[in-house]
Amino acid sequence: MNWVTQIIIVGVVLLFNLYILRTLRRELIDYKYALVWLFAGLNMLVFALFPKLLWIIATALGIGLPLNFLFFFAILFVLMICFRINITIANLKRRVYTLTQHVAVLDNKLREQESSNEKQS
Amino acid sequence: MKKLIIIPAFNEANSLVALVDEITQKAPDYDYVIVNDGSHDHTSELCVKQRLNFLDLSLNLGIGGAVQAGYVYARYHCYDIAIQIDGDGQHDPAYLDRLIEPLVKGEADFTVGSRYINKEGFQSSALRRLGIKWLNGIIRLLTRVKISDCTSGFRAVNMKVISMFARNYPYDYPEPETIIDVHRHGFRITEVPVVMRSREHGTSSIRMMKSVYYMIKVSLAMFVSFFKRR
Repeated sequence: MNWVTQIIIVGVVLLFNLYILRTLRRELIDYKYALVWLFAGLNMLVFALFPKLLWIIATALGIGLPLNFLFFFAILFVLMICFRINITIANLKRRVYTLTQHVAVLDNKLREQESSNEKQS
Repeated sequence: MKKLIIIPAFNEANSLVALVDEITQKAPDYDYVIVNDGSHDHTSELCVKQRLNFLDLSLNLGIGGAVQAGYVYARYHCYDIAIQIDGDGQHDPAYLDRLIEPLVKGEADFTVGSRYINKEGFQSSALRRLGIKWLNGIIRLLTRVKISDCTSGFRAVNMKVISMFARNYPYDYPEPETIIDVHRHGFRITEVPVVMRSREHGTSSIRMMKSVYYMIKVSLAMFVSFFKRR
């Protein structure tokens, strides 16, 4: 790999990691999810600094092309995150539903009390 | 014995007053609650003006979420029996007493009003009947419970099932799935013959384009429900 390309990639990966840390510092993301992204970011950094490592691992796993190894695990990682996000959304939906229902029940009670107060006065 | 009728309503303001009038005439000893599922029409204003008892959901939750809101209300006010009824006038309140009879006698925890036992009144289209038969078959396979009208939205439950539904109720196309849920929790299910009318207003929540998706989703949901942990 050309050393100019390598510097650019290392720079991009560093920016990615800094961005995650900044998001974390502003409390825009939970640690639970930030850790997963940081793990990915650090992995990218290691591979960007030592591209030979990629080749060594790929050969050890019996995968001919190092790029295939990278794509395979990258896609697996992204799919896993997508699935986790689906679970989180379902969880949030359940909570919103429960809240909406309970607000409606309390709203009904409030209206009933107001109308009975009106009758008394 | 406190009895509550749950009426989910989505853009059905036109038929609500007639339905509530019918309930107060034919079944005066029942309380009712309308669940306005975030309707776009004047349902909410109408309920306030006519002094109808209603829950105003601030978001549209869909049929499952709306009905569940009714069960949350029933649990909150400690009702002994809750009955679900469609807002479009399909279900005749005259059958309420018959529907809850097995619950009152303690013979069942959950009853479904079926139009296919005596085969009277509105019977729906042939294609729908075929779909219903398929779903009945799955229920029979999984639970050995004989149900003839598993998609019927005319059903009654006792206090134990009220609190189960208030905690856990499927969101979309809930009817067949809840039968398996109820069975899994060890409750007794009975069907009661009723006569249904064709819809006075509104359309079925299951339209042609969606029917294939409906069948796949409900079939899968029932199998998954069967294998859920209690």
